[in-house]
Amino acid sequence: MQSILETRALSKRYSSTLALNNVDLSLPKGKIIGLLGPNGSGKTTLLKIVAGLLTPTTGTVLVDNQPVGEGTKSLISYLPERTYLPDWMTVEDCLDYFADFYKDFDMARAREMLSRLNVPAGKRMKQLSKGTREKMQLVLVMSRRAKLYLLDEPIGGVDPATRDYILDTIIGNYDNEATILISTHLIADVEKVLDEFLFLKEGVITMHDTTDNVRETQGKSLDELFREVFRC
Amino acid sequence: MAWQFNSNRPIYQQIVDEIELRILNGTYEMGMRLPSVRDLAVLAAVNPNTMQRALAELEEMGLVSTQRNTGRTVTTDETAVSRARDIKADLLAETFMMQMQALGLSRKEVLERLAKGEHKEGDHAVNS
Amino acid sequence: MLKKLLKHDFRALSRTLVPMQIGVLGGGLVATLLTAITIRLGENTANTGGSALMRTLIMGVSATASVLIGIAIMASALVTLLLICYHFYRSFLGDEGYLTFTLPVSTSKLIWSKLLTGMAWTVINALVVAVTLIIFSVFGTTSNSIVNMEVLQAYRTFFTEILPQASQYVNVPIMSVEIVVIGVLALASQLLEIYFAIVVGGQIAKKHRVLAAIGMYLLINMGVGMISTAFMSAVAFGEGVSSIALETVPEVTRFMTSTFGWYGVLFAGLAVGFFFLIRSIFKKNLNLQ
Repeated sequence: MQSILETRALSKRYSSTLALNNVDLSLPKGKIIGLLGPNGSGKTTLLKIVAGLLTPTTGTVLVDNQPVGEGTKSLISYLPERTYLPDWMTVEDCLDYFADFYKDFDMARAREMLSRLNVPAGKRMKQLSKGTREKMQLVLVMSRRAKLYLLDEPIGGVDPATRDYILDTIIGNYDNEATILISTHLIADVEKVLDEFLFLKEGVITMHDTTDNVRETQGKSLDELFREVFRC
Repeated sequence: MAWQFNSNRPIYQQIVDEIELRILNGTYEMGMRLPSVRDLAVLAAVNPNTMQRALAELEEMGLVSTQRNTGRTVTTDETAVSRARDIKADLLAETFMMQMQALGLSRKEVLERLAKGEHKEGDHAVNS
Repeated sequence: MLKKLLKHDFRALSRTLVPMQIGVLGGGLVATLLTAITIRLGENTANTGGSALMRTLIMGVSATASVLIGIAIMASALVTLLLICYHFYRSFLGDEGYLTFTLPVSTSKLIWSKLLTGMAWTVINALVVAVTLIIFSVFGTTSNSIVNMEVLQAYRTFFTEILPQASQYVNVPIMSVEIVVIGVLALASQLLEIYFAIVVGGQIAKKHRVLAAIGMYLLINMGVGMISTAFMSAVAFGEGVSSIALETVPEVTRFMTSTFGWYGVLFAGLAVGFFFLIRSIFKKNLNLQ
């Protein structure tokens, strides 16, 4: 089976630090995969490189067998950790924007999710609370029928109810042709949802396995394993 | 509400156990139509692949069947259900017996204790 | 895709710029009205032998109105430019960069869209300012009638007498076209120079990016000035300027055309250069925070 994302000897250096060190990975299609590691381990850097926002120092990245560029950007739906929608845009403006630029944007699904969130179409981004804004961004990202979803810390800093909503949205939008890569340091909350996981420690991939394997062969939860591997 | 799972055992196995339980005790009636994999996954708050694996296992056990057009339904085969119930009950009984014996009780003592317990329950029923 | 980028960039700029242009026009009309009224009042006072004080007061108001218009007009040009720059900055160097740079469009198209919408709004602002000035000059400067016939006459004269006279020396239609083309190229190269300064400023300074951009702009401008001077000198030398006769229309036309032509080349070259520099930074060295 072809992989949706492949990196070879991928490294990223910032003046003094090596954020990613020789990362080799191959992610299959149709899985929900966790990119797990403590803060500063390089998760965001990896996602940004795949999304086309950073250029690697060395190494190659292939998305669906293509190098990162205009073509791969239409296959990837990226949710950054920050608010990136313009303050002045209304909900309707944002929907219009996404529909215009992304052929795979499912307007009906987006509207349906937004109505369940009770967000009025005329509200501007700056009028929404932080939590609502984050949900709004998630809705836009998950309403695209992309081949690879990159979610950077989607549940960090939100209340438990919102966390459930986000995970339900991810599960509910799952498509077995697409892969969802979730980066997080909140292992216990997401592990029920993960097919596979990667441990990223100081820019190095130390483990890549299926969650079931860990449970079956070691009788541990991912959370327990994580604590062992990343013990301070 | 999401189902409760233990994260250190394979989730799909726990889903199998839970659905089997519901079928055995009649919560999921025989012949009842099950929601789609995705809907079940959202209900249980698990990965759809995991739910898929669990359902496949349940099919293998004969408790669930797939029709071309109607999707997955709980089996209507009485014997399959009672066989599953037998297996589960036997397993639980064995486990119980082993745990009681680990306290130092003999098989006979365990059975006596069980009979006494039944009476107690009868009394309670009369008095309450 | 470029059309969609243009649509959204134009819409984003319109949000603040349309009200502003309306403000300029409105302000101009109000000032025109005020000035017209005060001139008439001033005249009436004179005719009925009013005090010199009244006259001074009225002149003062009229003058103030004119000055305020002038300030507003200059301000509008600056504000337009600032808003265009701000939009560029936010789209590429702020948090919105996460949105912009993950769009499935080429880097070139992104830059083209900012360039074209920036140029369009600069021209729109210029037109609005011109219209406002014309209205003021025609309606606000006389008391004898609503319309200042002298000013209108002056405008008419320009077209009916001055231009035809000019065609004794130059080919007017061709020159007009050339001036427009040069204007467009100059505008493009200037805007791209500013954009480039913003981008480089953002690259080298993590804080105080505005200051860095302004600093870079001054530096780059010096560099551009030197290049331009060197270039045009070389051209003049090559063309043997000193030996050109400027007597007949064809000769003048040819001289002007070639001068414009070389300026066109200069501006086009600068524009292309800055465009590719910006594009190259975006592609190779993108480091969003």
